[in-house]
This record gives sequence, structure tokens and C-alpha cells, in this order.
Amino acid sequence: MSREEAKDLLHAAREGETLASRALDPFLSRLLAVWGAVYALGYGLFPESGEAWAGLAVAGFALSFYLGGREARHLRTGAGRKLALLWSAFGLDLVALLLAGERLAAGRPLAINLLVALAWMASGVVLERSGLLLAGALFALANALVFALFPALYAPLLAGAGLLALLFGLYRGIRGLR
Amino acid sequence: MAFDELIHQPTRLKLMAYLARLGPDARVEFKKLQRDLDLTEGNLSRHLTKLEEAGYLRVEKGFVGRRPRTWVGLTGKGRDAFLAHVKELERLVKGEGT
Repeated sequence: MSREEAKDLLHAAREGETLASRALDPFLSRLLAVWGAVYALGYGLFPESGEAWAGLAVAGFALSFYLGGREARHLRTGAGRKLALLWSAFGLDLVALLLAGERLAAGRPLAINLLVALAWMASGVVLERSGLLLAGALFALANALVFALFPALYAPLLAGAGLLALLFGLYRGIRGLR
Repeated sequence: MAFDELIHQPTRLKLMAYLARLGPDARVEFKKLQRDLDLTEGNLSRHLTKLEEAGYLRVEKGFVGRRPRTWVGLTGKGRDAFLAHVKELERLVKGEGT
């Protein structure tokens, strides 16, 4: 076999690996759309209502796990199982933060969003996707900066970010359908 | 070390690479595999049969609800064969073999 032929074959192998690393992309796009909608609705319409937020978060989690269950009909991997456990732990922490209620006062949205950022970063580590890791880190940094420097803009900016995430998730999902 | 003639075929190599990248114990449903690798049903079936006969893949049939499904996963033997083959290709590209 020639060196060029071997190079072409290695290229085919890398292509297969790349396709596998993107195997969860349609599912992640749907998740992004779901949580984008939760943020757009929550921060856009009910920024101060703990009850509305709790309802939206529960609906978001129920839909996420339903989508995860549907995905598992097509693909089951060790990373997928770790992701389900990770997001279950995240859900538990979120419930704890919601239950802490008024004691956290104005800091509660920031605490929740830092937890969301951590969940994205951990998902990036589990799935070996640097994009998710970076997105989580930027989300945490942006949250802390806006919360500290422009508190009045916190809810509108997050509503806008949620809307963008919803649109991006839908766009990626539709593009993925080809 | 000799090349593995079975994995040598580009589509089969790509298929093995896809399954190996998903990690040990991963299983993927036939339709998803077909869609992701952009293969026809017949083409994918033929490759799967050859690889299964060699003990490189395990193919399981079952039902999700009332719908029949076929699941495909890499065996330990298949993973070893794939890694050895890629190593051999890399060695050749680096100019250490013929």
C-alpha cells in the first residue's frame, strides 16, 4: 500500500470519528431550544415570579428528560448515561435553590445561572466538546459581570440570550434534518 | 504487522471509527447509523454482516414499543482490530513501513 493510500484511509477513519462526535448534536440542539424558550419566557415575562420560574424549570426538565429518553432509542453511550446522571444532579441542586427561596433574595438568579453554566461545562467535559465548555465558561463570566455592573439589565439580557438560544437551537435542529 | 483486509475497505473503516469513537459498550440503532454515515440500507447491511461474521460487531435485534429495531455495537475484538489497523496506517504514513 502506498503512503497516499494510507493517508486517504486515515482520513476516512477521522471522518468516521468526527461523525460520531457529532452524533448527539441534534439532541443538543433540541435541548438548547427548550432551555432557550425557558429563559426567554422566564426572564422576558416573569422575571420576579418564583412560582412561574419553578413551573418553567420543571417543564424544562421534564421535556429534557423526555427528549433524552427518545434519543436513547437511537443511541446509547457511556457518555449519554453520565450526562443523564449529571443533569439529574443539576436538577436536584436547582430544586434546592428554588426551595431556599427568599433567603437568597436578589442573588438567587445568579446562583441558578452559575449552576447552569457549571452543568454546561461539565457536559462539555463528559462529551469531550470544547465548545460546550467554552459556552459554559462565557455564560458564567457574562452572568457575574452583568449582575455586578448592570443589575437592571440582567433580566432583559438573559431573556434576549434565551431567545437567541431558542432560535439557534431551532435553526441547528432544522438544518440537521437536511 | 499485516493490515486487516476486512477493515481496510474505506466504508468499513469509517464505520468502525464511528463505533469506536462512541466508546465501549455504546450501541447505535441501524437507522441512525445509516443516516449519520450516509449509506443505503443494503450497503450498510452488507458491511455489518461481514464485520459481525468476523466477530468485530455485535448486532442485536429487538423492539421499541411495537417497532422492530436493530442495534449495533463494537466488540472488544473489533476495537482491538480497529486500533491496530489505524496504528499500522499511521506507521506507514510516517514512513516506517511499506
